[in-house]
Amino acid sequence: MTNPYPSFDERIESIRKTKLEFNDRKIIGWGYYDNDDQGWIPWEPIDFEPETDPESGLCAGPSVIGKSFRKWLKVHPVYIHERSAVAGAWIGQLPGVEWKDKPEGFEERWEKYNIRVPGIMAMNHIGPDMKIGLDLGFPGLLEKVRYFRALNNPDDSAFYDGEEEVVLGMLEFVERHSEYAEQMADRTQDPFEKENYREIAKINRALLTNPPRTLREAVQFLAWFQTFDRIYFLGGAMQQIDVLLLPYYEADRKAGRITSDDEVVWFFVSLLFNDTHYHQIGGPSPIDGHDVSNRLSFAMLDAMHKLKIPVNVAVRIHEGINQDLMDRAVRYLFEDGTGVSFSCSKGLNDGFVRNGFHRGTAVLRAKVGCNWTALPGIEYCLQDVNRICLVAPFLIAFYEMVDDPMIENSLNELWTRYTRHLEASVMTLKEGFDWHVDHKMDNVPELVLNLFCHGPIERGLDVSAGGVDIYNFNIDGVGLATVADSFAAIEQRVVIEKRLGWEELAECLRSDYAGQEYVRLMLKNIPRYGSGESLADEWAKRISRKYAMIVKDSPTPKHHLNVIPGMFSHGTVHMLGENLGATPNGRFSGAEISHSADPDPGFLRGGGTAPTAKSNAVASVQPGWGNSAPLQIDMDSNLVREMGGIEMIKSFLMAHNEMGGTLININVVSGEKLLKAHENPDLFPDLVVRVTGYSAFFKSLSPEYRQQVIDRFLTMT
Amino acid sequence: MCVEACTTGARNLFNGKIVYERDRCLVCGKCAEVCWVGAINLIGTEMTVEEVVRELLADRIYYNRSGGGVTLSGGEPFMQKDFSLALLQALKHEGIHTAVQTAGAVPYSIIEQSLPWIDLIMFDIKGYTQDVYKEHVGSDRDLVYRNLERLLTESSVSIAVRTPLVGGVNDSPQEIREIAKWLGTYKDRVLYFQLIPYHSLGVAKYERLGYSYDHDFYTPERDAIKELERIAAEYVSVKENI
Repeated sequence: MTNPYPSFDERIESIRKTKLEFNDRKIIGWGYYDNDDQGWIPWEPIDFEPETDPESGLCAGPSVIGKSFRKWLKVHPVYIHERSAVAGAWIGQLPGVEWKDKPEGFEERWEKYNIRVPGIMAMNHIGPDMKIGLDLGFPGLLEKVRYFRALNNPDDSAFYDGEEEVVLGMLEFVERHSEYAEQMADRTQDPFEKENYREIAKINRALLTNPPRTLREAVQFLAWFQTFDRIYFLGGAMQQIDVLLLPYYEADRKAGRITSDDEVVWFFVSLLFNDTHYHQIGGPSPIDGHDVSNRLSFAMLDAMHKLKIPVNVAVRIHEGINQDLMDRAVRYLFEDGTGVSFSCSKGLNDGFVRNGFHRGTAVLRAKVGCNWTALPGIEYCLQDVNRICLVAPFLIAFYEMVDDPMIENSLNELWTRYTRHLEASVMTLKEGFDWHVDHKMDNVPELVLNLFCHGPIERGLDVSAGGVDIYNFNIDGVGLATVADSFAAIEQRVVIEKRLGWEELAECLRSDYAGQEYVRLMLKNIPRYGSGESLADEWAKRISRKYAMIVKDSPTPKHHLNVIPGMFSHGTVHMLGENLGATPNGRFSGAEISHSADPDPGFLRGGGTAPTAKSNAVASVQPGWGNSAPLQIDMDSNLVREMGGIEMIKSFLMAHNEMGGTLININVVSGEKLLKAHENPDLFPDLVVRVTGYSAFFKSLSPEYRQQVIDRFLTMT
Repeated sequence: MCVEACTTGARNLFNGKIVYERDRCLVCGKCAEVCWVGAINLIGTEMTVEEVVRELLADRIYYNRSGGGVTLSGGEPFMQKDFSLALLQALKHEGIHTAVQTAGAVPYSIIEQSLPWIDLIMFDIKGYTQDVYKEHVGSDRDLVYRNLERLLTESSVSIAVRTPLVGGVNDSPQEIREIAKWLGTYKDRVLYFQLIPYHSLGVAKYERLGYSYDHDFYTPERDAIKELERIAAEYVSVKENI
């Protein structure tokens, strides 16, 4: 008798196909999207009026937003993929939320220093501790909110009102899915689907009254968290998933509830289909540094490999990394073109302890965001939500100097003025953090993430406002290569060779090199940052050191909160470049600036980009305090095979870790395939690339973003 | 400026534009030297052994990590025998693992003098039959095989043998079987035999040199490569493609 049930692989394939169909519908209905897939499913718009605050008329403040969240969940559609192990998906974030307060006194400086992403009023970008949720479950979370409300008995109960509404909304949403699963079980004639719907109904009914008890219930709970986190305000951080779920897996194994890891892979596929939240696997134990990977780490890799959709999982590499895990992660890179990113323990941990934290704490800071790490549930770090344009202070300093008839133009003078403006730019962000801390709780608190942090519910304070113990605001610099190459071009062509005067250079820049193509190319054609031992390499190190010092030297001015430097552009290099005039590295006015800490594409003589040279360069300019400055590497799979394959890549990754690098985003893809896909994306609807820190369908990217990936790839190979 | 720098008239002005006559160019590089804007690049740079070693040592961490080192590749490294020898000696002095990729079509004495400073030779065998060598390679097939045989029997250097697998040229099961069978005679001495699938990255080089690339080579299919690897593995240890 044949088994009427689809195999695990058949279930996975069905889920994969649905994702591809959704992607097509999303592109047709909403256009290209240059960010993370985020797991949202295409759906017709829904009429919705958010709750509003009677005074301001806005959907703002904890109580009002909590009520709105619950109301939105009541009208939000229910969704269960018939072959998924879990229920749930989201169609759009809670509409209508606004801030009552608006920051004042910043606009002029944001404009001056080209601060387009100031971080003020930003949401999430911290790491939750999902153990809180798994231990308590939804009913336990509700009980906790009610208990501490009664215990603290605050005059203004808005915070607890909001939290209670949020958990009630979650419970109602889970219940609606239980009912829907029961209805679908009755309706379908397919024996597998009937049983699957029944099981989904059962585990969700259980979650209404208990914390998760089995691995499948725990995965369902995490899927709900992903969904609620997105709906609330597009949160995307998860945790060290293999360690988190190990007790459930082991208990299921012992009890005979799970007999094959194939079933676990299916659970994980269902979780990854649900959302692209960021997970970490592997890494050192805080106890003695042994590698914490387990069978779930491998199951997660297998789930990614089988599903082949955008997924954000990082392997935390360190000297003691499980070599089998590395082998499998790198092998899948070759087979799939992309896969995990590699979070580098040495640079991250050595850097973080310099802030005054114990190494055991540093080890727990997991890679749970696009480029970033966070301590689960105890740290408010607001990662990846601001950008310091390293280029704008340079241009201001340059014109200030050459336009001042009282002083003599020199590199020293330029450097002094540059650092002064960089300080002012960084201070603008620091003041913004203080404003953010003062206003966020009363405007748009983290009602979902508070539940999964240690302190906010206990204290009755938002995670941003004293709810947790550790505050480490992040600042990300962008455009290092643009500034380093500019300084070096001036030093070589103006100061050493005297082929150009300061005034002539200023004139060229002001006119955007009009009629001065020869000069532009002359400035561009110097040994650039990344070529090794060049003037530009020295400038890059000097700028990075100074930038890190400026960020670290003082806390925020009002609340005295720690600030940590990183370097990451996400995709903002075009946005930041469009406001900037021409620069002495030969860059035209309005053109993009350089990414993160990366050398500009084609930085070697003849326009090449050797991976080792790039890796050396990025490792040499790490800010060094535990936040990342990622290395973006794109390799041609055919070439890499010839050069040594998996072993070569593994050595390359480990060497970057050893040199103090912090994160490696890597694609190993056939150039031929990539170029064909660029010509006609429909040829490879399932081609996935790691764009920067996040992974995306190549097809879903706009032509501009696709071009960015292609340019990077071509110069690397 | 490049026109003034050129001593052979390879670069000259025609209707206000700079034209380049490749036939008259001695590749002296003077035009590139004065081209501040980088419009002219001399591909390849004249460097001393010391300069090369200094650049290579910047990547020492990768050699240590991978258990690898520096591979002299080509063209044919033994065509620059004195420089290759000096470089290999300098690298061994630094404790770096050395490898040489060679097509083996040089007098054995040239290879032999470098052997003390080579850890691994990656020997390219383009085919087994005279036809492949005559029609597509142009070198003396018998010299190549004699050199490989001497290396396998007279030296103790590690030897890996590689065959670029070019669709339409040497990708027949017979051709690969014959190579593998021949290697099988020395299977204890052959570290591994590897088939390297053809790729078209050389086309750009042809274009830069002003040559036309009028070949219809192709990359064999993955399944075909696997089958050829299986055949070869009957005789000799095979390093499989990923």
